[in-house]
Amino acid sequence: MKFLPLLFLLLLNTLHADELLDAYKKEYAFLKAEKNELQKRLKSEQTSQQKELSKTKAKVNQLQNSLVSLSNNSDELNKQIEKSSQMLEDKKSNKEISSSVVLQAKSLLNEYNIAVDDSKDANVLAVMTKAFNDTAKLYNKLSSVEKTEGKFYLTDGTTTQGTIIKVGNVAAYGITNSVAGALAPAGNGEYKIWNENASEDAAAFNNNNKIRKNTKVFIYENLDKDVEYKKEKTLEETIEGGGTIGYIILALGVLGLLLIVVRVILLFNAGSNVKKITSIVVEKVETSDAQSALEAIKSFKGATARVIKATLRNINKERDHIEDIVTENILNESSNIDKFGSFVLVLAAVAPLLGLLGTVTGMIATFDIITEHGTGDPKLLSGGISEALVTTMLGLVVAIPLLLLGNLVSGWAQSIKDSMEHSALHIVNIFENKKAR
Amino acid sequence: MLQELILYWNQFIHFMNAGGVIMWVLFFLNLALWYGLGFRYLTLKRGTKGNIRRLIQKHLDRGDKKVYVGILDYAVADALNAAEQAKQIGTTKPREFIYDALFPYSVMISQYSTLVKTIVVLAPLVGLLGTVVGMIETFDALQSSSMFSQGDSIAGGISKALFTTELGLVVAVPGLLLGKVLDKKEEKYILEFEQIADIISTKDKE
Repeated sequence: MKFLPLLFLLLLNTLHADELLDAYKKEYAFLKAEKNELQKRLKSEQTSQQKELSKTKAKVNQLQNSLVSLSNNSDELNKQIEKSSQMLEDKKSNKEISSSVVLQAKSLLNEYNIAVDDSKDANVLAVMTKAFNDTAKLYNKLSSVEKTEGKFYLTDGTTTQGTIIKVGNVAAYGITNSVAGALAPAGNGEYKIWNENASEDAAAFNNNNKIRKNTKVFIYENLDKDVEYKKEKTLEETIEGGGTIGYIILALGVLGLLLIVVRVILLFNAGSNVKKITSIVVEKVETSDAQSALEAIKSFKGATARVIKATLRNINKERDHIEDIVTENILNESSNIDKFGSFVLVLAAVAPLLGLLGTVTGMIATFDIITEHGTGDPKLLSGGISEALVTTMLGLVVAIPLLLLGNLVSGWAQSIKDSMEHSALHIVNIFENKKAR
Repeated sequence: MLQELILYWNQFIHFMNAGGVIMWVLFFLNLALWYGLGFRYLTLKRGTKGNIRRLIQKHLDRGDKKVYVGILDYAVADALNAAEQAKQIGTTKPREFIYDALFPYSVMISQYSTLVKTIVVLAPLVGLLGTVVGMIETFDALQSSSMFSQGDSIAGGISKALFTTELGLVVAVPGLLLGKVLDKKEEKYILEFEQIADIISTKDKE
């Protein structure tokens, strides 16, 4: 009983088979038509799409090209902007410079009463051209010799009326009936006569003579500041600069010179008559005897005379004995002849050392000033240094003559001693010679 | 030639004036120094050759026909004469007679030696003095900083300072060298005079 429904079904199927086939055929045709339609549409869609795409691509390319050209354009424009901004800056700084030039010109030319228009709406170029022309004119005027009437101070402080000859803007001469000379700034644009004689130069300028060689002139920068008169440094002031050590050196020098004078007198007494005594004694000994020679030189004084007298008194004794006597006498006299000799040379050696000491103490004082006041004022320092050097100068001034004279006098003393010994020897020899004959 | 000389002369005057008064002091010291050196050179010139023994023997050999070429010849001749004289009177001390005869020669060879030595010592000191004076002038000029006169300027002081030191050394150094050479010669002469006296006085004893 199982295949019954199945059978039923089969039967049913076969019943409807034709109907179904028709339906299917219909369906199929419909679907096929549909498919064709769709395929057609797809195709047309594709072509239209491709057309669109290529169109768009071309458009994009075009746009890209235009973008490139535009960016190039903008670069150029940027550069131009930069350039112009730089130019603007240059213009600005130029304007600053020119306005500062105008300001400078105004302040400089104001001193000579030449007006310069520095208002904002003025034409800068015109103003500057005018200022330059004015300056050139002023320069010519200032670099020439110009005569004016004016007042200036005399050295005693009184004012006088006279001719002022301006040599450019750096020097001036003043002439009145009684006074003529170079002018120096006295402060506040006024002049005063400088205290050094330059009247001939002033006259030469006044008469438009040829300018002489070595023209004396006082050159100044401006007339705002009063210049102090130059003081002639006197010898006393210079020596005073040396201080205590300077005076000590000078005292030593005076002492040394005194000793040399004393020594010269001593040596003159001792040795000036050596030749005379010797010739008299030689003559007397040759012609008569020793006793008469002793008589002949009795009036002579001094070291040589004493030595010769002692020789003549003992001339009859043995040779050795006489020589001992002569040597002893010369030794006795040499204490007098050599007196002060080495002391003067010691003074000559000490004086430069003392001078050096003075310089060192002066330098220490100068450095003390530096520690206290700093190195701001060179005048303060240079004054101290020049004072420090004064002692060295004094030391040398003392040492040089003492050394020269001391050495020469020592040489003289040595030669006196030598000639004394020699003349004694000579006399003894002559006496012996005569005795043998 | 003349123009060149004038140029040199002007340069010299300019140089001297740049250093001031002290340059002229040094210049005259220099003249004195070279006078002394020249004098010493001429007096110390030897002329003779060989040592003292041969010289004395030569003089003895020649007898009266003597030839004088240098200071030693004269000295030996005088010494021999003195020794002869001493022998004649029979003195016990011929040496004293020889010394007597040689004395003028020993004075001659030492002439101007003190002057030369003194100037050699003095010249650098004078140069130093010039330096110090120049420096004082420089610092004074710095202090007053006036432009009125040309003499007392800063540069003038410095050139004074340097030129004087230079000239001081230029004067001293040749004087020192030549002076030493001449001193050596003088020393040799003194020893030779001593030798003359020794030889002649001992010769007579034999």
